[in-house]
Amino acid sequence: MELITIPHSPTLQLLVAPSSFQRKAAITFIAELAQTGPVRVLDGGNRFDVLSLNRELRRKDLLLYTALERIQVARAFTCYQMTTLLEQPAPGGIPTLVLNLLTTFQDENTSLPERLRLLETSLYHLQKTARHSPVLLILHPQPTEEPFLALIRETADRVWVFEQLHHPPVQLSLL
Amino acid sequence: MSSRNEFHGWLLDIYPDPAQGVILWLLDEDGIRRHRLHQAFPTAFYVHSDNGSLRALWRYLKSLSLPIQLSRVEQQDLFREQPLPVLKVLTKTPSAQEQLFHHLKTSFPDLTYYNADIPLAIRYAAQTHVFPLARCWVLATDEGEVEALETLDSPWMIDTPPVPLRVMVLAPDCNPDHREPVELKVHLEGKHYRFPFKEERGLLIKLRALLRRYDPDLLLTVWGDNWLITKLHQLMEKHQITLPLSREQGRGVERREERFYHSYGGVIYRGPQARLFGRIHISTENTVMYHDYGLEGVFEMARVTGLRIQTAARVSPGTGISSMQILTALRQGVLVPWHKQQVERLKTAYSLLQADRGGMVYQPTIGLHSQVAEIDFISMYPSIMEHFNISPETVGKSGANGTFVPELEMTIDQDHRGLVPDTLQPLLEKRIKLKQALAGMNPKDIRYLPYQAQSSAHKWLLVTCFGYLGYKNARFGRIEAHEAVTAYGREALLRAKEAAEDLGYRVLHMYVDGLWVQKEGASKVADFQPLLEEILNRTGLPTSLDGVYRWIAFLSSRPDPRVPVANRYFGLFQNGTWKVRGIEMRRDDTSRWVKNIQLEMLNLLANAPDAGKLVEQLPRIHSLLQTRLAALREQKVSLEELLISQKLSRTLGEYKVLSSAARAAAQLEEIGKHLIPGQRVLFLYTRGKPGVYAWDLPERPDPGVIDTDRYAELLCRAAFTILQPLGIEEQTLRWWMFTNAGYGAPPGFLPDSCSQEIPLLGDFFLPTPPLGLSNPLI
Repeated sequence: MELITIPHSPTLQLLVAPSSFQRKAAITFIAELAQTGPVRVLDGGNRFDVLSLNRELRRKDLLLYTALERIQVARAFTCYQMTTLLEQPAPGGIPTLVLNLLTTFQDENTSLPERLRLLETSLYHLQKTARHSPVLLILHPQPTEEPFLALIRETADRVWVFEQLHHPPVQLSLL
Repeated sequence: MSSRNEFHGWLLDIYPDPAQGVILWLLDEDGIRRHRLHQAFPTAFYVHSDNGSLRALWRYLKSLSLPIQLSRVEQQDLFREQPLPVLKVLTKTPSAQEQLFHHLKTSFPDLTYYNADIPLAIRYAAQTHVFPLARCWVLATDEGEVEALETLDSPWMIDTPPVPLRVMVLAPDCNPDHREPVELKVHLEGKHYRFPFKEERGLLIKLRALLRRYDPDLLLTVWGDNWLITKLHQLMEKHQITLPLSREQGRGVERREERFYHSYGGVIYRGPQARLFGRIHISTENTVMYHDYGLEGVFEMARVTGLRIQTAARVSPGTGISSMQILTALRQGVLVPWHKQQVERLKTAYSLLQADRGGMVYQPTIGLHSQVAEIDFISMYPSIMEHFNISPETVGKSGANGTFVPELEMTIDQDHRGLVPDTLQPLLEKRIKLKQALAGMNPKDIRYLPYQAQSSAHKWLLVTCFGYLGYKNARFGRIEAHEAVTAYGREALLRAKEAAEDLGYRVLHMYVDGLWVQKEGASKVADFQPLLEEILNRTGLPTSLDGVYRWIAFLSSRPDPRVPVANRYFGLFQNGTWKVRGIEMRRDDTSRWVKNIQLEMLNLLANAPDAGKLVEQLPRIHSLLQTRLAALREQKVSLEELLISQKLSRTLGEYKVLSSAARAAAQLEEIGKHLIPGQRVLFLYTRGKPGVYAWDLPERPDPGVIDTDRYAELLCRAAFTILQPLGIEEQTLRWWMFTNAGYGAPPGFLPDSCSQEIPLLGDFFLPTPPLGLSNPLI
């Protein structure tokens, strides 16, 4: 986790990581940012884990209520809602973390070209926001999300990719 | 000049026509004539954007030289204070509107569209108040053009006269998924016919003659959507004989592909559909909740939602409630968005922690309890929405008389009636009227079953209306409204608990909208009435006494008997009926064999006059289990009884480890039967690999390959669920079931020295101690 710079300056960063790592990273970053000021969290997967965040904030010896009040959260349940959420600029240039962005873009009720169009619109707004405030996208992409991920990679200023560690087969002890 | 026809009748079907606007099929009140009428029906939709974009759209539409009218108007968007300036596009017919919108949404995808994809039947109901199966007065020309049409009916009336529909039932003689049917069975007006499929031409000619002669209003088919209609089409093409399946000449069958979608973490499968024009086609296996409310329920869904009967039969209750909201919006002049774009307002993490909770659960006191009353809030969440005016546009606003939501920093506007409560109010009132009527009605009364079916249809609409407040694709949903409902629900349940405790009752369990209470000396319905009244006083929400249990068993978790499990219980009401939740016999993936035995065990327990005598039924249960297991081992249990039904949660390629259902689906895939996620697969557990046998393979398996050990194990688990509250340990049960151990004595009464070497007792009972409020055996 220490490898990644916590976004403080206006940039659009992308963190691609396995599911468990990205969840932990999200909590760590949000807690870290809440230490110093307000932070905006936009969640497309309805998986923002406030209880784990509480634990993290307590470990950092922060005033829990104060820190929780600094974190502004909104969830999107459709790709249309996600696009609308991302249209809204970050107030006062506060950092924005976008979690599970692609979940809402997997909606089988919306055609693929329409979803791609909406993602392009979303990325346009993210870029606009990133001119004034730090933006970090944290993703755990599914194999079906490759075309979407490619678009995001092209847009991001910096991309961090963490891969699942595959343990090599181990020779069993004969004893 | 054409002459005029005036008549009374019922609306059977409605659909668009590119030339004539809408086509209406009405059944004359004489029960004999069917009228095909047409009516001009100009249809509008609206577009909102910035001025520049709207001007560009205007110029573009003008350049198309279509027969449309364009105007700039102001309409109300539910979520805005002020009316919204929009471009109104008026087309001559609903078909033209549909085509134009289809074109624009790809050419101008960035614009915001309203009233663009509304089913015709709902538009028509909104404009004319005429809904499917509504009794109407009609004035039409000889050419069938409607001059005047008025409804004499309301979807909220009860005791409407039955519509004299002519029904033809078509059913293949077996499940086509399993093997090729041999005969087509036809029933109509008390007559039965059987037409062999191998006499293809003869079948078509005879069926055509029946369709022409009887001209049924409703084709009720079994496996019609996914097999029969396709089969008939293949035969028609092969023999060049056309069956008049639709009444409308020249219109064949409207097909819709099968599909699946994700909802609340599950996969939902929707089968292919075959809809007709001018004649209703209902395919029983593809009709949502048909097993629950039958045709009466389908008709009620169509009446209250305004959807075509064929549509109402095939859509989920969620789509039904959404349609009702659209109908309310159209009648109030509120714009219906194509896509909901309202987003959750930014809230602090602390607020999210407070708000993002579900219903209140108070874990049950594990064990067996006597004389327990179950009190339920009547349609709790819809009642809360209606009572507290919770709607997406009222939450977060205060107004002059705003109210605060308990626990949440949120207000509800009480100055303006919300769209959702407005939609729910007549439905709730009708349901209460029906429930009251049913309560005092003889089950032999001719109205009893229709009332029950209607009430059941309402129940499903009301159950889903809460979920739809937060559902992603709901047109008028908003997550804050969803959270407000659960907050009020938790508060109401807590107040009910306090009321119960203040009146001296002991609360054993609470689950979202119900509570189970007990009080020394309270055993009759009247003993609990003061509590119901007190709860109403404290919450403003009505409750009902579901019943008083002679005894009820709240179950523990299987891995840890100290841990209770909410909503997992079985209990016997004083009137002798059972209420069972969360145990094997309620699960879809339990075999009929296990379900039946579990029910037999319960029925044996029902013979006990009170909870203290339940253990006296143990020898019979012991014997029952031994008998059923012996039948299993001797292959005397039919294969159908052993079938397991499980849903595929993903495509076969997406499974990392193949589940039993996936292995069965893979067997079907090999013979060309392709299943998609959400579909159920039937299979048997078999010995060796692959461990399952798909039921829809062409051959029946040899009964000798059935994995009887696995079924015995499943039975053991189900039996333990029932016997655990009586103090039976799993090990004891296994001895009884698998080692020919005889029944010894009730739990806790075997002498310490008793072991398997000591001869066990036969049907011998030791006296049982008297049972207090809770079973001392636990």
